[in-house]
Amino acid sequence: MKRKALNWSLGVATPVLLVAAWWAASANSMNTFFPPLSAIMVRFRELWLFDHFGSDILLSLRNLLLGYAVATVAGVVIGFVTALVPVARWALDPVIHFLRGIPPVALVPIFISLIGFGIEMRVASIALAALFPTLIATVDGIRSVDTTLKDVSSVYRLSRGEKLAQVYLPAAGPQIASGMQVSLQVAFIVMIASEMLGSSEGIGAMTLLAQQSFMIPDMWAGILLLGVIGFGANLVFELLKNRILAWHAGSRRLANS
Amino acid sequence: MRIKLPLALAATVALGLTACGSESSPPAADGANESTLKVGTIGIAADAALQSAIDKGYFAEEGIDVEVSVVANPPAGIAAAQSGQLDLTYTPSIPMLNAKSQGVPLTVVAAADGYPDDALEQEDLSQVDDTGLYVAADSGIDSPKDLEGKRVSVPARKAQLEVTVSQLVKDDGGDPAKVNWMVLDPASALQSLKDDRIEAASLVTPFTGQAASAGNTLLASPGVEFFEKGAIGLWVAGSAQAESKHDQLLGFQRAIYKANAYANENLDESQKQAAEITGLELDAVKAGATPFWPVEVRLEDVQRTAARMTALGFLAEEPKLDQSLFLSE
Repeated sequence: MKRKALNWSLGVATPVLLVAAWWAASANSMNTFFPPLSAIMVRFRELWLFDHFGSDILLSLRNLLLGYAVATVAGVVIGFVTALVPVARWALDPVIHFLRGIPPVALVPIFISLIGFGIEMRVASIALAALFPTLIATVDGIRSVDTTLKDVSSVYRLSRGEKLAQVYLPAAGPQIASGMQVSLQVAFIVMIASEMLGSSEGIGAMTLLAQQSFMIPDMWAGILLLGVIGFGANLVFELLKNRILAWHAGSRRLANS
Repeated sequence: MRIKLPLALAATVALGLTACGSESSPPAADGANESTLKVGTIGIAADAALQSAIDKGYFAEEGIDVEVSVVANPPAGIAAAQSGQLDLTYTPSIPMLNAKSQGVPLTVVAAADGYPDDALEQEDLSQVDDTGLYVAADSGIDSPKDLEGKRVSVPARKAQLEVTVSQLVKDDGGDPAKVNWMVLDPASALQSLKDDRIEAASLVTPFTGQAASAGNTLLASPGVEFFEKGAIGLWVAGSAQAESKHDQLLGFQRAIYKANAYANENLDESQKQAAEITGLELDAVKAGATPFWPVEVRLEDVQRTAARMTALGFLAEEPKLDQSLFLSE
């Protein structure tokens, strides 16, 4: 218990101390590209609380959530099909590995040519980029399901649907969750990249514009916001994962004890 | 995660603190020979004069060695020049003025490209302007004012083409704030114009030629109409570099002006060089606007640009510009 409290204290105090050190060390900075943290925070408040909240932050988050949702659902479904249907595996495996090797950002201009530069392009870019980590983790998760579990499900004459929902999905759950976490990070990166073209709306577009216009405190404010959102998204994911996969953590603790 | 967060923040903050500690003090040429100048370009036809100065030994005559590297865009070049990673860089005057207005210490070393003084007297402005504003032939857009409420592509926001097209709209009695600016790379802009996803595309050579070949209509030549004359592309150094490498930069200035004059006098040779630099067919280069390499930068030209940017709202207030902006003996 003491150890846990110490870890939490370290986790909270270290960033606070570092931010304080940043604030103090940059207070008198005359370097244009590294302005005082106080100036950055002023612009952070002016820009994001709440002048551009609806027009840019919510817009970026909407694209992120939509793209990520499409990616995870498609990744899990295609992953199941690829892992359980040999014909599909042979047909899709090379295509999947070819596509996952292409940097998602490189596809953005192609998406623009195909579907324009509206929300569809941004969501499609995010979805495609975030698809593969979840898909591959799902395939690996299904393939590594314990054969004993498969045998037991056969002995109990579970239907195909019951097997999928009650045996394969829970057994592959931890690996799928790990893939989904990687997908979230990829989705976040492509969310920013997809805003570099088209209308100048969204956190990434605002930050890029600030950088190109030499509005350096605005650029740092955008970077800080992206960091905060990335951290928050990961935190929410961890909390959900720990709740949904509580049985897995419990079984690991039991195995280790 | 509890462990990773402090580590990541520590790295970020350490980076910030290191940078804050030194007030834009540039590295002393990273141990390279003091006579070496690291020059950033964006790989455009204007670089023909620079290449000519290298090939003909103009820099060698001045006792300097030039290392050329291509930067992604002018703001990236300015950032590298300000930090001392580059000794000087190519930038159009608009990003330079954006940077100056935000307090980035820069010194203009020499002219890189621009328009001759009689440019506006040309009957066909597209013969002197390497930028063009194109609309689809059946768009019904007859003048820049008609762009209000329309989607117009630009390669980057708040940069040269948005500024110059805004001026066209304003001069025509329209409101540039009512234009829906879309950031698109030139290839996507051409495709989007064809697919009616945008109503107008602001393009540079060689994409202007492609837009014309595809049957689009040239609505205006925004560059020359905005700048009128004089140097537009500039060779710019961070002010700290301008001080520490003053003599070498003066040598660069003499050499590049000699090369600029040579490039103007030997247009065929310069266009061949431009074709090599840009990877375009020579015919495509020749079909575009006739390039011009000025042999001076005039304060009045830069001031006129700054005044127009301020009037359009791109600069919060007009920067005070005087001869100290330029590198001098």
